Amino acid sequence: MKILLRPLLVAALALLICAPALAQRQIVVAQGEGVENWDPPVGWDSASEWIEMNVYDCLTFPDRETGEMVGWLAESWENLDDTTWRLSLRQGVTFHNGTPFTAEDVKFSIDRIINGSREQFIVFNQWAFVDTVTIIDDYTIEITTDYPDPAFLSEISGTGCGVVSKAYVEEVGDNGLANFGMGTGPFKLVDYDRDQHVILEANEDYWGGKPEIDRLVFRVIPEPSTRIAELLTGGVDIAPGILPQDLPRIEADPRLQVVQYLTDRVYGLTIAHAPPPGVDAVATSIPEIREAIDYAIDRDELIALAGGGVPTLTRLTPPLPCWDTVDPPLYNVNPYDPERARQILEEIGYPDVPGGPVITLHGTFGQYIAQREIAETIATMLEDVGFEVDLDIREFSTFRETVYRGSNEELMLQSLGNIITDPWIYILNYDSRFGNRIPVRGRFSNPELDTLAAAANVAMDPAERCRILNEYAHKVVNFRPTIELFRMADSIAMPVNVSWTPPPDGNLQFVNLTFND
Amino acid sequence: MTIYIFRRLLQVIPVLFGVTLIVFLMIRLKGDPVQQLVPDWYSEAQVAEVRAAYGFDRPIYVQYFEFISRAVRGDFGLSFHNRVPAWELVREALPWTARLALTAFAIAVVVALPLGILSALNRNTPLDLVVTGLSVWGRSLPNFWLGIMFILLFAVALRWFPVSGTGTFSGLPLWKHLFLPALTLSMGLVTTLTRLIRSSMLEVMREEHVTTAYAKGLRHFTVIGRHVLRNALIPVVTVLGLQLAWLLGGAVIIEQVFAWPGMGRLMLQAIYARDNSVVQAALLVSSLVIVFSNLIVDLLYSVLDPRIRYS
Repeated sequence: MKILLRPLLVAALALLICAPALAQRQIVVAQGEGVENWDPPVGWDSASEWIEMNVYDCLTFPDRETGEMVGWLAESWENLDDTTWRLSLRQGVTFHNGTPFTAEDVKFSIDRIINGSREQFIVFNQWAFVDTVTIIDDYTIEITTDYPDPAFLSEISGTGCGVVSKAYVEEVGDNGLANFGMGTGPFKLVDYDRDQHVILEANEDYWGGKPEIDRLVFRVIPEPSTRIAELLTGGVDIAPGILPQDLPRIEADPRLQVVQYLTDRVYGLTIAHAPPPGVDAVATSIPEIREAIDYAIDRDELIALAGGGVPTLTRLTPPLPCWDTVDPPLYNVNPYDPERARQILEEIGYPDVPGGPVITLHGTFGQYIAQREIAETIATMLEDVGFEVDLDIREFSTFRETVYRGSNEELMLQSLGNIITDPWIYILNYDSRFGNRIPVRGRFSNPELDTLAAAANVAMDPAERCRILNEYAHKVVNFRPTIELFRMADSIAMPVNVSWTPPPDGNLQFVNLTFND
Repeated sequence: MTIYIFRRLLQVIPVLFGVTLIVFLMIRLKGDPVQQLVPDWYSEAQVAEVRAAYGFDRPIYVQYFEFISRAVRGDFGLSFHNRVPAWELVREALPWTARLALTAFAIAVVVALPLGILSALNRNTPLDLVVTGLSVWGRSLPNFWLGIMFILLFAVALRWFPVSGTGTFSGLPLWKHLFLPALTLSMGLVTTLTRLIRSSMLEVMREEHVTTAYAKGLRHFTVIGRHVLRNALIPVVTVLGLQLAWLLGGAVIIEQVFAWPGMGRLMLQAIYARDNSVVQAALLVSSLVIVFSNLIVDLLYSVLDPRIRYS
């Protein structure tokens, strides 16, 4: 009997010792919003996009450290001519339902966007750079663009880039895909309740290796204070977007750590160079007034208010290509000089200037960190050097439909980010030929900027593009269509036993999260 | 009685017509719906294209007629944000709000009834002062603040209840998740009902039929139970019906605080996302719930007080 029991006891002991190692590794993430739609080119709300990127893969992926594009579902590529890209696809990859990934799926995914409409796919305009997609063989495709496009590799990793399975979409239809996503990504969707949770499980066969997390759960908790309460009671493990006032409570909990990271968003002031309809003049049409405003703002003080960030005069920030070739540097610079601002105002005879003396500063609240407080502090700084400021803070929907649509006067506080890891959107923002973005609110046309923007947008030689962008960035800073303030930081709370670096675009991709214990 | 019910049902028709008109116009009053849909870089031509695609270029009465004819079939159009029928979202959210509102309603009745009676029977005693004082204090507290305080006390400090959610993921029973939001939502109703029951009881107690009942030698509790309470509850029933609208309004904030996936949160999200079809569907369904609950209260009222149905 003893002989029989011994092996059983040993086996039981071994099981007990191994039990913690066999336990499922689960991470619960709190999110303000749920996934609205699992069809990658349909949802542009951040929650859908961020959570989806755990389920889908794109052709390329930006290295968040260097800004370089690395191969993802496309293993390598070559530029056959200025408008033709040949991409070799990764072999042996399967979708979560077991069907193999091939060139057919890539062609299908891109074609359905470019053959669709803006009403169908919110990213339709963003993918307009693609002219044709041709299958060369099962694992090779050729994509042609309408014009030489140096941002191509970034653009194919932009919003809506998740590759869907042709067979799955044909089987379940667009609505089926919208309700239940299925891709090649590191996690597969197990359960989805629109307003409550998303439950994902590790993809055992992931081409990049199985993630360390076995079960990844996203819980929808709209109220920030509730998210903190859930974090403190263990209801969730990770919560992004921690506000400065909540930091002490979280840091006091020995189970939790707060990681601060720089985002790709930049706070800035949009400047009106001419008055809106119905207004005679704006003081900011005078270059010296714009210069004085720039010198009057202490960016470091604004950063302290927001709980972190880096002062900048440009939106060409790391890790965007060419940010480090800007000479003299415009990033991590704070030109604060109130004396100089006062001197300029005296020289031009302010307040007796056209459009003076009142400088209107428009703002809103609730969208980004310390938005109202930053507008109020800027108003105080401007008053400190002698400006008379009318601070106009409006509720967001009113702000969007009035000021943001072009009724803005001198200054407007806003925060802008990048949708891809390329200066593309930064360049287009000041190009007066492109739609009605900043030039319309700024009411300026600067042919010099337009020419440089046009050249930067088609410069295929990286060195030449950086040279143009250097000139462009300095011209923007001197002309001041906007006055950039600082690159924003964000904070994320997570358990002390995990290591994970949040990417600057806020994407909550957890494939590289590791456990320390 | 049948004539009364029939007459009351007929009265609902113009009310419903008014509700649909207000809901339809409110969306337009928010501003140009097309401008709210399109991204800010759209040119005028592109905006016109979207306007035509959604039918916003047609005369407003044509749009209203189409809205009505589709709404009666339960078709409110696609949610711009979710790309699923707006009605489907409302149908998913409605039971969650119903659970929350009915539980809050039950808590309010269970708590307010004894408090109000005790307060009236012990008028001007310390007990009455405490109950009346707490009612005024409770009524003046904003319920989102109260919700956060309940979370901090019962969920974070005492760990008696989960912080938020409905239990689809936690594995805890639904009532554990339901209790805190329902308690928060009920607080306003508890205070209103307590004061109303108290004042209504006191008013009835002064009436001659109560004095007659005592003179006939009936016991105190029989008089209170049979002659006072029954009559005192008539105005309370009316107020209960009206308070349902208040509960649905309060649920907007409570559902946000407790991550409760009901109508209030759906409406708030739809307003933020400028998802007009969902706002329309949710507003209309909420209004219908209120209209019909008021109808039921009126019918109940006529049962409790025969003077109504004979007038």
